[in-house]
Amino acid sequence: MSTDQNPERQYELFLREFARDRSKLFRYIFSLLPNHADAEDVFQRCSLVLWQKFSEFEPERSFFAWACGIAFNEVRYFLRTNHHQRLKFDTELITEISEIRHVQLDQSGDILAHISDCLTRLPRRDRQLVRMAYGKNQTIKSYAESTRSAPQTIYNNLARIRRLVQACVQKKLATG
Amino acid sequence: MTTQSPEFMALLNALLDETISPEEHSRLCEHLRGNPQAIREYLSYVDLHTSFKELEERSDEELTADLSDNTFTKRETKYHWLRWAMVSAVAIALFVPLSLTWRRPAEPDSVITSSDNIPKDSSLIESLNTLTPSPVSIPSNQHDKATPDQHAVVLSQIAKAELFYERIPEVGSAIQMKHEYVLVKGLMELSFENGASAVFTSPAVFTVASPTRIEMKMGRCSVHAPETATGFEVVTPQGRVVDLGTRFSVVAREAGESDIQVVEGAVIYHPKSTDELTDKSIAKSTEDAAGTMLLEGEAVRLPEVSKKSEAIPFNRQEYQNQFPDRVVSYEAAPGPDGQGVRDLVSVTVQREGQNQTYPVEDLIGIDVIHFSAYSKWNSACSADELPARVDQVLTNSVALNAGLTNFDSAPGPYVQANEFKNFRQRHGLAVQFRQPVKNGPGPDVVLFELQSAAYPPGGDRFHVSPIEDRPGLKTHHVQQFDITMHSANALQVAPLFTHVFNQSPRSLDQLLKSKVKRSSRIHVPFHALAVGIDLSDLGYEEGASVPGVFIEDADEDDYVAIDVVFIGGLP
Repeated sequence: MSTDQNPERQYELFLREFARDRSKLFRYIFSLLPNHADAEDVFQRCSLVLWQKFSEFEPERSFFAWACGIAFNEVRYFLRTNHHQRLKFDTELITEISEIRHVQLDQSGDILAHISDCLTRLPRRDRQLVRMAYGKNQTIKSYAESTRSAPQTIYNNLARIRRLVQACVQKKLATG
Repeated sequence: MTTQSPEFMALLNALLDETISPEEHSRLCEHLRGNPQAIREYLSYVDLHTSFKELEERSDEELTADLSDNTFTKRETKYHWLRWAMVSAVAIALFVPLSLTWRRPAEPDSVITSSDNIPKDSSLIESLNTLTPSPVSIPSNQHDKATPDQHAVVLSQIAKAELFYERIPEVGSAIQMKHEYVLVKGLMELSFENGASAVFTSPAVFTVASPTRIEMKMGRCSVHAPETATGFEVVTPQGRVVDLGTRFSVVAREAGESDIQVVEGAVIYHPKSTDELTDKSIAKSTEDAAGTMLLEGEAVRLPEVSKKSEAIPFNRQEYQNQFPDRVVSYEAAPGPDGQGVRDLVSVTVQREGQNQTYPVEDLIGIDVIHFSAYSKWNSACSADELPARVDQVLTNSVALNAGLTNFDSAPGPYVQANEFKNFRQRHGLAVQFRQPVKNGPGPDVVLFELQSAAYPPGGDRFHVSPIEDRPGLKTHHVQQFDITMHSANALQVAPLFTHVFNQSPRSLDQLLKSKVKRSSRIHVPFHALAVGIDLSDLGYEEGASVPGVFIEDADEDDYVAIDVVFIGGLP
């Protein structure tokens, strides 16, 4: 249990821990709920619960492991209570994924830096496509219309880019 | 490298693109369930997906916020502001800005069915290799032209190039598609409509299979494929290299292995499988092994009978970065009867990697100061009658069918001069520039000669020496012209006359006083060959002023001697 009772001090401690692991925590949640809207909802709720329960966090433990435990429960709660039509993994599968993901994320280095570096090695046209697909300014549908392309062509190109960047990252991880 | 099935990879992409159907989602779950390897692959893709988004958002922040470049500092600033609002009742509001703001996915244009979304009849790797050019930077009409087209691939440069049993097409003209070229000497560069260029270094055997594909049986090919040419391919018997917007070289060796060196950007290479290698037709193979990305500064060797490639030391020198400085081309005006060219109009020279075209009137003229032939009596040629002063065929003329010819040297091995200023004691042609030529980068002097198919196609070899003595000066041996009989850029000259004198002239004075014994119209077609002389090769330092040069025949055959029709200094 956190022993520092000063609320402001508590909050600073929380922010420090949360800021360090927020990206990994979101990836953890997204890997169980691979849908933008669902993952965002759960991440927001989880962030609140983490703050509410931070007084129970023992500083000698891993914040990320603790946060993943809470996030996993939040995901399960979401699956139980959310009945809209979006496709989801079942509890059995998310348990399997969670066990692997938790360890993987805890041990992973700066994957973001590797991905960023690999992205810079892509042709400009491919980088532009990634920016369009992951940016806020355009949808794939509108982009396809503006470029007179079939949406599936855009998706195929995104698949190709993911495959290339994945190969690049794996090579970087293998060579250290 | 993924070990998962193409279907699984396609399902992953559909999931991340949020275009997955319920049926596909069920199949994905089946793939993942009880399969840790598939789950790791899935998680790897999730990392890519979330990182792309995060990087894009950071990029947006960097563009829009006037904050430090340090992302962590930005976050601290954001949190610092938030702390003032810290009360548990508004905690939700506190966290809202912390969350990643995902854009809602685009709705597909139509219901994506399984057959729409997943390439069933070809692997995903295959679909990766069929790189659909994005219209972002390629006009749509270029896509339309990206089909086999006789005019799509152009011979853009050559340097001392020779093809086996055929003449090299004119520079700037289209080359023949699906035709096997055997480059036995020199360099050839092809330019493709999509912006790619490929330089072949002899010896090389290659075919241009399509506007985006070269097949190499042997030799070295250096490719520069800009982003408009992404997907450009070089195929060797051992594998296939797909460009991703880069510079790379492929060396297909006779011994049966191919080396790939990536100088810039990245490529994907696909070694051929052993089964494929049993099929000798590299064009026929349809199934490649999985591709591997090769990045800048990396090199790999594809062996002949194994799918396993091996990393090799990177060697930047394998990439032909630039053509040597040389005479690239020349223009000449047609003769009066239309049979061939006569007057030189301009010459294009590559100096320090840059092409420069010089109109003939800008070139520095010459005066003949010595002329001596050992045995030949036919010492001049002209378009029609000889001028009263014979050396004016060279000094006052830009005609490429008029000049001083056949100044052969004495039999026996070449003996270099002890003192260059004593050139008048030797057989050859000495010229003085009307103003000193400054030794600049690349060629400084251009020399044209006449040649017919009966004589060495590379041009008559010659020695070129200074006409003065200064420390470090030396004789240079020119073994081959830049524009040779092998190239269609060597233009046929208009009909000409040769003039036989009553003696072989041993000095300029003798030449000027000699009587013409006989003049004959030559019916054999002659071509004008050109070569650039770099005065640095004569030992001159950069920027030196050079008064003239001395030309000596270097061919050992009695019947072969150089026939100079034009010499000019570059301004």
